[in-house]
Amino acid sequence: MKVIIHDLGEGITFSAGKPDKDSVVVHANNQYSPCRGCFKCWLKNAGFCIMKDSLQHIGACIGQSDPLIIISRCCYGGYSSPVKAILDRAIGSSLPLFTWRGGQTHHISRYPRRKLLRVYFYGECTKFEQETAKEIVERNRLNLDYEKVEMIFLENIEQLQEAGLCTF
Amino acid sequence: MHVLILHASPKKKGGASRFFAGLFSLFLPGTRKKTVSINSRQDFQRALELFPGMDVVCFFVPLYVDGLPSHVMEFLSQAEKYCKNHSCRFRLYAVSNNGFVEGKQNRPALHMLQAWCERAGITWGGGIGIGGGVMLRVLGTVYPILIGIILLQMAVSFFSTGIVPSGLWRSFAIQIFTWLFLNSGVLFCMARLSSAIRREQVLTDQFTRVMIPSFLFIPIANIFMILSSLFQGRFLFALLKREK
Repeated sequence: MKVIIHDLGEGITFSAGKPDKDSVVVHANNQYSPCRGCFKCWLKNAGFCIMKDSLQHIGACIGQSDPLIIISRCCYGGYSSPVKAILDRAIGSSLPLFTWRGGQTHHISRYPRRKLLRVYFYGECTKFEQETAKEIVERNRLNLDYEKVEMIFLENIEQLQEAGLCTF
Repeated sequence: MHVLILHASPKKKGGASRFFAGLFSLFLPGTRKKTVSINSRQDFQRALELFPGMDVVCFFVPLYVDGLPSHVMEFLSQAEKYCKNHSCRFRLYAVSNNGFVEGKQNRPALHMLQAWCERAGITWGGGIGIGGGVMLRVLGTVYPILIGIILLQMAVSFFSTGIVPSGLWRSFAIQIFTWLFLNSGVLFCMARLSSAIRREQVLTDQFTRVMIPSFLFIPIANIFMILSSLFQGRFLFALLKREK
């Protein structure tokens, strides 16, 4: 299942690749609560959040996404707040138990290993912020348990359109 | 020196960031400290309005999914605008903690705060990345209870027999030294951070952890998670299910 998370706004449609009936598009519009850090999705529910909003089952959605495509404004070398809220709410895609992966401790994945995580960062981004973003996405790959990661930096949303990735 | 201690745990109670903020405030005697929580959007404005009067801001953040939590990103975005429109001359220091044992996993979070400083026109003072933050916070609750029980036993023994058995003194010393040993990296780094703040210096980012080897950390943390799920009324096998 292809999952696309983006913060592009209501009037913009992400259009990379052929339309697929299994595709899920998650619009990061901030119409949901941020993670409270209660760990109930690990310790009480089997992978789903206790907050009953549109992200209650986002852990299962991301846990089964292949590829997972994230389009986010680059903010200080990380994801924008609305995109990050989605990722924070999705920690139920892993188990509360720890393991050793890539030379560091990580959580055991609840779902089988997936192939591709692709991240598009757009907006003004310094070299230092790009390096930080690269480190974060590589760590995301390890934590979310993907085999491969692809990262693309674009200066603005118009470049997404020029690359045929979205339509206004 | 006016110091603002900001902690950003989204939890209403507890939280490792709050624990470390409380611990670090002990390292700043003689300064004018103010501690503020930004665990929700309602707290942002109150925290921002304190910025212009501060010499130093110490930001205590948890690591969420390899970076800063979403509510912190939102706060930073508002804070960047605020700092550009007001006279803010503080230096920002940060302490980031994560649940994994390696403190270095906090490096991207510290770099994001450094990047924020560049955009907001604020001086970056450096930071500490703490691994095993949740474990240290739990130990920070367990050890005072254990030490309290021993002190109670010592008091009972003293008032009933007039002496305190040497075994109790030994137990007391062992608990104190064990807690100090497990926290030694954090205490050392906090002392360096405190010194850098007082001398108005930039601290090279420091990384530390709970003083437990990784091969022990993993089983201990797993047992803790299993026990925590039992307290929530769930056996672990019920938590291993996958949603379709």
